[in-house]
Amino acid sequence: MFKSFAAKAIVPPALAVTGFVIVCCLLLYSVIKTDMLNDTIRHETNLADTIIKSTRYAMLKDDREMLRNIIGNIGQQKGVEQVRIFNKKGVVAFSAHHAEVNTIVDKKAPGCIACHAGPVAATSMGRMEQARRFIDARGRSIIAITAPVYNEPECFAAPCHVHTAEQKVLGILDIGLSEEPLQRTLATLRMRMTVFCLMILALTVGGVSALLQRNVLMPIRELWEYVSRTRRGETGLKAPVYRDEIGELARSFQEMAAKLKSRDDDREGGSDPPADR
Amino acid sequence: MSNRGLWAMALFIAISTVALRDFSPLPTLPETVRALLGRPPSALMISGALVLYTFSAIILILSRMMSGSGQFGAFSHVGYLSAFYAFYHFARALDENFWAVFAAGFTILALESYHIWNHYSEEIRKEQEVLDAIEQSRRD
Repeated sequence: MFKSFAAKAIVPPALAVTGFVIVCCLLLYSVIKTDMLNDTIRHETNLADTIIKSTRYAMLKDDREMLRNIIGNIGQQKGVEQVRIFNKKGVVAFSAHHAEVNTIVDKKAPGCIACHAGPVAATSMGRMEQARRFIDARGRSIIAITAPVYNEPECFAAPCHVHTAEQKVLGILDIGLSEEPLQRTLATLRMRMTVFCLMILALTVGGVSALLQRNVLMPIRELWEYVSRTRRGETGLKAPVYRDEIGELARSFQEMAAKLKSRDDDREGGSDPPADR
Repeated sequence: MSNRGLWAMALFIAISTVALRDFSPLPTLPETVRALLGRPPSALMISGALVLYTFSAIILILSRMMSGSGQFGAFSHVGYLSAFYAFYHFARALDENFWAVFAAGFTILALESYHIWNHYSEEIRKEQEVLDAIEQSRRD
């Protein structure tokens, strides 16, 4: 199969073009995926900042009822899978899931280990390092952000609070959004890129095949038929006419066949054959 | 000689199998060596280099096919592709980009194998024709 003229002409360009397009699509997909993920994390970090700013006044006033309401309302938002605030000791003070209030967060959990890997917990992290991705107990993919609630002069100077000025982090806001919209968009992108690759493959193979069939294979077949019939002794045949190398080859063969025939006729008639030019 | 393409492909698949597990069967580099190597290039930069490399490798093989050259570089391509796996590994982006390197390697090595196979088939056919001519002249 691979020894045929058509295969020799089609396989290399089809393989080269399709392979290159697939490599480019895979790299493009990887770059787009990273960009989309970073955008989601940025969006989530901004959301965490907004929540911290929204709850600041309630925290200063030590209005726990208002804090509970704010966290509860945010947790009801579509796509928000978890939102909670826990203190420095890891005790959950406020959560959209009321069952986990007053429970202790596992420091070895995927999102906590980044800060708690060493003997002393890190107190400041880059924006991207604050994010973590994990699959929750219900099997859903989550992107979560942990944003520290830093101590401020208004906090340690407030009469109702017990924080000292030395305490840098008062608590942590932990918010998790569902990855489902992101995964859906990525799946659509994957499908479109697959269709694009298949279209490139079809166009390359189809285009090269069509051009080859029209410009090379068909003339060669006609020439082959003409040569076969001439070899069988049929005379007066007209060589296929093409304005390219195949046409030139057909004309040369027709001239050669005519010369051989006239030489044979002369030999049969008893006259001397004409000298070759 | 004509098996070289297949050997290179087999070696590449073996390296890819190890790379698929993020080189976990191999011992990890000590932190001192990592520090000595310096900061890895960004994944975006490595991807750009991979696109350029794939493009130039394909052009090179197609030009060799066109000229009927008997030069092959299948094993050197395995080396370059392994370097891409290593760079992505150190940039901590191998998970995202493994299939791109694999597709690039598969395309390049498949083209190279096809070229090797085609070239040697042609050479064998020529040799066979010479042998047939010698055999014919002996009979005559």
